[in-house]
Amino acid sequence: MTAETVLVIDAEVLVRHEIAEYLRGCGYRVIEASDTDEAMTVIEHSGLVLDVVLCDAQAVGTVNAFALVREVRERAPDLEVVLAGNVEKAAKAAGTLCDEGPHLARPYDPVLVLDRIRRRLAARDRARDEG
Amino acid sequence: MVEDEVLVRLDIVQSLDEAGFAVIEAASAEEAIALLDAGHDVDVLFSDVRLGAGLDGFALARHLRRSHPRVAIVMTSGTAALPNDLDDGRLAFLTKPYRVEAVLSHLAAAVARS
Repeated sequence: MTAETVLVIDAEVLVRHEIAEYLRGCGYRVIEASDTDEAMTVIEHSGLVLDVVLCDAQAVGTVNAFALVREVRERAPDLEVVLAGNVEKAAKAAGTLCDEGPHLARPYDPVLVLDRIRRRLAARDRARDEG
Repeated sequence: MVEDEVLVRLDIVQSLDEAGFAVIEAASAEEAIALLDAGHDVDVLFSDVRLGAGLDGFALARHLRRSHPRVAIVMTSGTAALPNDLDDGRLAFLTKPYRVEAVLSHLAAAVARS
């Protein structure tokens, strides 16, 4: 079985590397992006089939994390998105861009991240089976 | 592995991973320094010379020689030539475009020397 692929977007390399290594250890293929520009390049041009995007709500780049999520939902509706971040800061950043706040606190609790990713993928697979 | 172009980084990280290297990736020289300063155990650094807006690969190599002298260094560039101060036989230099086999060979040799 091919490993499911997670795109991790986080500007803080130590945080990104730690959660990426944890998820690799759990059997996922993990692609690392340091900002939203790298993430969009991977989504649009890598040719990879991505399953989950784990994105810091404070991610930097030409577009912010919420605009990236909106882009992803338009271009790749099957791609599951998990936002992580400080709730208060993220709420301010969200403004009118997006009505959805972060799903996870950051710094990451790796076990919670894994649980959220598994739940998202399970829900996706159930929806596909029913569809 | 330090490379600011994400798709290039993706390709080479995959090749190194498949060749059996444990790869830590960085999108900039600053990220590489942060990973090394955090205590990640690195045998060899493979870096592009051009690294976007921050430090370039040569500046990174000079920094590592002071701060992490045991880390072997392999640099690559399609345009830049190796500066005299780094051209002392301790730094391997690979001209782009390169074949993955050449990268693997240089990295294995660098690890053996370190």
